[in-house]
Amino acid sequence: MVNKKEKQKQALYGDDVREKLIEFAERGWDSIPEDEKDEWFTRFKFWGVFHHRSGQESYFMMRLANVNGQLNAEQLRAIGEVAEEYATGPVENPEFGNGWIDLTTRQSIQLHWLKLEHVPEIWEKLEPLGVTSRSAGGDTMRNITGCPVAGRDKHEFVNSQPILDHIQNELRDDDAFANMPRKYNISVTGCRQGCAQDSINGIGLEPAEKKIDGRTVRGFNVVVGGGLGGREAREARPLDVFVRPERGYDVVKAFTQLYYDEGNRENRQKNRTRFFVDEWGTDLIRDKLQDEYVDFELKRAGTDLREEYTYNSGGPNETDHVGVHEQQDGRNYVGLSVPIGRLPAEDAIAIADLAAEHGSGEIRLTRRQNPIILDVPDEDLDDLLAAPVLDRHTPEPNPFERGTMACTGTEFCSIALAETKTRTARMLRWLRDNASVPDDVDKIKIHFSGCTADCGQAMTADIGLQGMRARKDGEMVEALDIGVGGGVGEDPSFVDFVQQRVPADEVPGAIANLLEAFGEERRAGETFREWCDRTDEEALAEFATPEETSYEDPCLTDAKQSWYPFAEGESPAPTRVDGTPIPSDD
Amino acid sequence: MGANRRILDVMAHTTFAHVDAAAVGHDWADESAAVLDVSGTDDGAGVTLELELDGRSLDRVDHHADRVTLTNDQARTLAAALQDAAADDGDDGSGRGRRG
Repeated sequence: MVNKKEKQKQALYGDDVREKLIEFAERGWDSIPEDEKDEWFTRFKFWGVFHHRSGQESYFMMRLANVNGQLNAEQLRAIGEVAEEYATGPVENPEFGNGWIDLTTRQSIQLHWLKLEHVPEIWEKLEPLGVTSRSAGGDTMRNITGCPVAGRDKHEFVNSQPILDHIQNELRDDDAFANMPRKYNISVTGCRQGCAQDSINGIGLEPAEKKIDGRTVRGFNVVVGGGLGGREAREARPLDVFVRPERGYDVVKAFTQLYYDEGNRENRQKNRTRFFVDEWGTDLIRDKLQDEYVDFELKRAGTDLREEYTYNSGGPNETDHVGVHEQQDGRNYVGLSVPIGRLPAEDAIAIADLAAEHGSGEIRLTRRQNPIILDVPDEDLDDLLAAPVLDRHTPEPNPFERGTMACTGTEFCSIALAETKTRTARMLRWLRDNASVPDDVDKIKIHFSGCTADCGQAMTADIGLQGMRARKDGEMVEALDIGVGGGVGEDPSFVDFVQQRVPADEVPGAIANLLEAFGEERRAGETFREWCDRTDEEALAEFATPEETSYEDPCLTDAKQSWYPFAEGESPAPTRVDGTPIPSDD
Repeated sequence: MGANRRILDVMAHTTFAHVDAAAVGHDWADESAAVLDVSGTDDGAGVTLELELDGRSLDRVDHHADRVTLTNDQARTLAAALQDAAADDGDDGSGRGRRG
């Protein structure tokens, strides 16, 4: 029996949803019948339009998903202008005010507090410039991720950009594949760093080489069925297939078609690709693809480059695209650090202007919630680096700013258990002033997810935080589980949770204590992940002893979840397009 | 194994992200905070009740979750029994409750 969501999708989904969304927008929030809200909100997600959580009725988030985080200055400027004009809520965030954008871990952008009535106008401003929200959410092919410096990286193994563009234009844009069994992630990397993190995608092409007819050919190995999520996270498994770049698209399409045809549409708890691969096994999938889905011989896997992977690796030469790096053509790319990925609209516009003035105008977004300005000639570097906006989003961040990511959290998300972004901004300041790391450690990766869905990728952090509940002084409080020692790189592994249900106000103290022990106990040159690997779990738990400190938590006791974590009083929602409350009928 | 990674999803719609619980034997007890969740099965034919004690609090038993599958009738009987047994002292705020 198909589940409720599947029935809703069967009735209407994909490109056809757009017209209905525009109709509702024209007639106003009230025009969506109460008993149909659930199904329409499910469908709107295909168009990247997400209703905020309860208490924030009539407000929406929009996700913009440009393949591989590619933007040009004009596009980023327009997004910033849209954020200034439309992404303004009834209350200001205490750290970020109103009018900002969030950079995501899939190289996308999210705008909050939008009114449904404004969505068509926003599309009119962004779409002619090539910015789209289509297929950014729901049971679809999500943003295709890749190496953000594909085609520019000086040490690139094979250029993946043509395949990324091909997948975007022919597969992701194909309405026939709009209704996948479940959310579905694709990545393609051709660099030596592993920066698309193929191992946590539904299908990933990772760089490899193979001797064919006496010649060494560069291309990709194929891995399938990876994904995070606290419940049953999986590293993608090798399909034992090597593919030349010119066939890369065909293999991705073949697996996508197979999952579309055969993926489970009954049990939503068990229908991500990772479970599909569990159930079928890679041998059967490979055979089926060969027999029915491709018309050329699938070669056995080649030699991969995983030993060289440095991105989010936790190893001694870890890379993250932050800083100034020379490109293939002698120009430079400049990776900025946006703490926790939240960028005020005026800063987004300033960064767009800098990219146009000092580079080619091309900008990329990374999987660590940061932007990169491309194609900067040597003679422009000093001026670019002196720009005031780079004081706030510096290519030389402190180790905590550099390593930290956070999901959306209870501020807007309906499934989160903890507030993340604002809390992390405060933690970062406290850690900067009160915690220390050895001089040769340039980042400590703290990844914060508001719940076990793990959109903030806590599972692959040095220090992973996940939202929970605890009782403190007789009161239910927001609390965090603290995990340590995860990473991707050559040998992906997930964190070990050494403390559970730590009241949020005691977490910075726990982190500072842990880092103090790291400084004292580590061997010369040892990274945090390496240290965790060789240190007994009980000892790590002892080192990470929770402690109240001078850190003041912004919403410790919001465990009952008010309509907005930083607001007093009643919610004005739902509101009209001008922000005035709509009185309820009863 | 699993390094205390939670077995159950814990999200805003989890019935209780924090309840007091214990794993008990004939002459021992491991007391722990726990997650307790109730959800309808996808096919609508029944109800699943799941309980997971925090992995780090357990000495005598391995970290695990328990799952009970109830028919809809059994679920209603349980709900009535809970209702009868409960003292009326309100919500303790440990969860928001599964909706819809």
